[in-house]
Amino acid sequence: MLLALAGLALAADPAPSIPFEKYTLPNGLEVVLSHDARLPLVAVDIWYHVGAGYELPGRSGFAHLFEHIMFQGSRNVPEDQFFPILEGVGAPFVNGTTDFDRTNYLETVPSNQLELALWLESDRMGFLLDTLTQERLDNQKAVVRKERQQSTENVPYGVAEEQFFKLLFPAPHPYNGVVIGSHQDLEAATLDDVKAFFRTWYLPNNATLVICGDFEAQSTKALVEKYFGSIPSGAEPIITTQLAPPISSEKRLSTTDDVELPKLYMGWVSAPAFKPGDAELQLAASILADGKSSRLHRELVEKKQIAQSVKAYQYPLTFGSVFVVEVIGKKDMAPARLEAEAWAVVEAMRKTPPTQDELSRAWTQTKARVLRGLEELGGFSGKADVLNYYNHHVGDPGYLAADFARYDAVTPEAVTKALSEAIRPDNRVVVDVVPAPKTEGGAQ
Amino acid sequence: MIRLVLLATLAACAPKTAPVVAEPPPPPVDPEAWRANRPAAAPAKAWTAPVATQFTLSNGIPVYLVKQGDLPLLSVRLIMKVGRDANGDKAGLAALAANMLDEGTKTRDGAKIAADAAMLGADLAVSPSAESTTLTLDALTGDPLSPSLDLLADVALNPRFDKKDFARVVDEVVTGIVAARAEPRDVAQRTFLAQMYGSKHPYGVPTVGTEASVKALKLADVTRHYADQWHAGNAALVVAGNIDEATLKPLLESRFGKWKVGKAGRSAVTAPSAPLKTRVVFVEQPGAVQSVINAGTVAPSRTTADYWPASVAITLFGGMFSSRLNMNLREEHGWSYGAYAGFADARDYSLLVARSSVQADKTAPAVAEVLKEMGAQAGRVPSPEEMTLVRDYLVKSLPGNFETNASASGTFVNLPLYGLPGDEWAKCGERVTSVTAEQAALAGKSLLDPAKTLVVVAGPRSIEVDDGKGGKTKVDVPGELKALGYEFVELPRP
Repeated sequence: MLLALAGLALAADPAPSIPFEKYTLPNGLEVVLSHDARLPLVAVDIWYHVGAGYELPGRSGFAHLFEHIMFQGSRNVPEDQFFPILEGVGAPFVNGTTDFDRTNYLETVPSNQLELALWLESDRMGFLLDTLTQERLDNQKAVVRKERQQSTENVPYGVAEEQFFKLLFPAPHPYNGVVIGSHQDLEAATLDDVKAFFRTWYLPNNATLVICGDFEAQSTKALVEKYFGSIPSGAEPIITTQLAPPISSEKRLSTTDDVELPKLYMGWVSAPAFKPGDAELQLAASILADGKSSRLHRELVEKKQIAQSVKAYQYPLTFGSVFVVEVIGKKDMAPARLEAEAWAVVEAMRKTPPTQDELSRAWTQTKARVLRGLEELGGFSGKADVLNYYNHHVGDPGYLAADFARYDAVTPEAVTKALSEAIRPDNRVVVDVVPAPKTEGGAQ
Repeated sequence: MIRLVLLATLAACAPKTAPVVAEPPPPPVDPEAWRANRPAAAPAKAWTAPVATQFTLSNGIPVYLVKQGDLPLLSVRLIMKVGRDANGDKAGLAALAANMLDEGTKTRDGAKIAADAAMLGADLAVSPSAESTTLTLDALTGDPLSPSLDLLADVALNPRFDKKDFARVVDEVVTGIVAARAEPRDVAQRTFLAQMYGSKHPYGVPTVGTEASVKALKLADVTRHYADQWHAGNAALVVAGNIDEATLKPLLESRFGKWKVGKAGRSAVTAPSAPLKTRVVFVEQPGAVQSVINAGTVAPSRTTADYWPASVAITLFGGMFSSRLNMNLREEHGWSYGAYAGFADARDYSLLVARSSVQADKTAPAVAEVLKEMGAQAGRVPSPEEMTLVRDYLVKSLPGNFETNASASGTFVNLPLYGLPGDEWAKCGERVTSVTAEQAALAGKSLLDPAKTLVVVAGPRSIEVDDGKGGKTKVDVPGELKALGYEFVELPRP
């Protein structure tokens, strides 16, 4: 009773708000400033509103390859000096990532080095192509091939996961495959392709700059104007990506890999990010597989002991999200058994709503994790990226409270409705992996 | 003065017409030329890392409090100085006992522990490691705090050690060990430890144990281990977040203050001796497209005076993106996505390990480069620019360790573990800055000696590559490693 009350008290708490100010430069660059002087640090976080999901057929991996090139140097930043310069001033965090819907570049620097970060970011936004040579492109292609080996080919089940995404989003949809792209397409990328990509997407009017941390507003605005104000805007990019087509009949694939344990993937193309059904499915995934009190864990790992681990998630994307259930089986467990048992658990919640307690737990835990993310200025769940995330998807950096309200409104019945409508046997993709020398997968 | 006034007057009176003789147009000025100058830093704000407030509970458990932040959050770590050293000949025992804790207490089963934590917005995690075991509670303050701390104390103090849970957890741990054989990283790490310490040494086996050693463990081993080792005398608490000592102390005292102090302290373990000559060990990883390289030697403990000079040397060698090791393998040769080196901190001694995944056909050349780079850096006196770089890298990034309560409490964990003072982090800048280039060179000299380095490679036996003539050829990985000319051995997979 006490616990339930504590949970309810938290659920009733107002969502934390992140103070911010947003404005737009004449060249179209969106700027968001958020002050927090707890530590002498400032996070600079630029989102370019382009990701792997905007690529053309035959050019997979382009957005990600491009992200690498952004670290290679620009007119005034010498080759290979981006990381060393920031390391040398004690930047605690420097990174860039490419997702299907966006590409982000983040650095957290000592607050007295804010101008340095703005210099670096503006130079590669405005003056990247001056120094981009065939040699630099080839060098980064080689590095990306190593990254692909390390993150996809040399990890257990990595190749199956790629096949899984290919089945979920058949070509020519650009969500087809993995963000990092194929060896073949990477090889085919020419210098002209790369330059055209930059001129199309890497424009001030297709980017948002968030500065979050210890800074003084007036002088920072002047610095932003100084470094970014003269970068010319370009033609508004035209997004040709369409909503992923629904899957009309079940697709199956059996693969092998150099692994010890079998694995099952079940996936669906689901409600796009922030659209009706998205929040419901995120909470459904949490009820199914988040932690030892979750349904799949209790049923498959603890009670039947046929699985080593379970996982479920809704990966929210603009042109069609993905709802996934993954099961790693015990040694020699038949994938068919894993599938039948996992599906039975999903099926039960498609018919009968979860308890209010299950739903409250899922949401309270998720909310607390978001809150813990906000302790950080930069990083992938920090304040700067949260501001950019909401700005990208709904055009309002301050959407956190509204987003919390979206989840607060979810009822057990709504979870079941979302599952029963979107998560069906006839629209799913099932991929399994059994231990045997690696293949690229059998027939569909 | 007068003349100036006159000139100004004349200028003002000059007719506003174009000059008769046109001057050549000035060369076009690049309006962006100013960007060539890298901006200077603004004056740095004075900042010192927090000092942990220390107090003890009535049974002597030391508490380290880092008060920080304005969000209603708290990170609490219960650190037990119990690790692999307490295993005796039962590898994996300490970790298995730790993993049993959140499977059930006298009043809650595993699912209820997880459900209660979720309802409180808390994350509770058990992390067994080489020399300690940590229970971490990331909780919300306010109403949920008391029941969250109850949960932490319940899990730490009242484990039920149920027989059925035990059989299942053993199976999960064993299956996890088996599954990890598919990961070349794990295979390389396992082999490296066994080769460095010898497989009979408690540190010669990873914390989790081996398939055979865990299968052989009995529930009675776990209950005995817990009864001996899990007592107040082996415990410390580190707390970071928005709370003051007066509020925190009674909350901890009521939950942990009556915990009894037992006898068992830490067990002595024999220090490993550095290899006497370069030794290359190959373990086959079927199907791998990259080889994992672990190369290293014995290093000073976290508590010796040599620690900071050694850190400076190793950071320059392999601690940063711009370190020599990464520049060589990633940027110059393009064989790897990254290569780094660092210490595995430990009480009595440590290991220095350089790690990289490299494209399999370049395994032997990459090993040669790692050893060559070590040799080139060993004993080299860093330039003043390098010393500035490494100091700024290590010192100016320190505030980043205190952004989150979890990272702050994690940063302070080494105080109780290594007996460091409360101002360890406040003084860190001074300690790093006082390291001279010569001291760093001296510390690096023995650590980076290729002749004292053990190299372990987990990779494929052979890999097909283009022969440059439109055909394919096979690279014999162990053959090429052997041909490097060092002591070479191939071992079965662990």
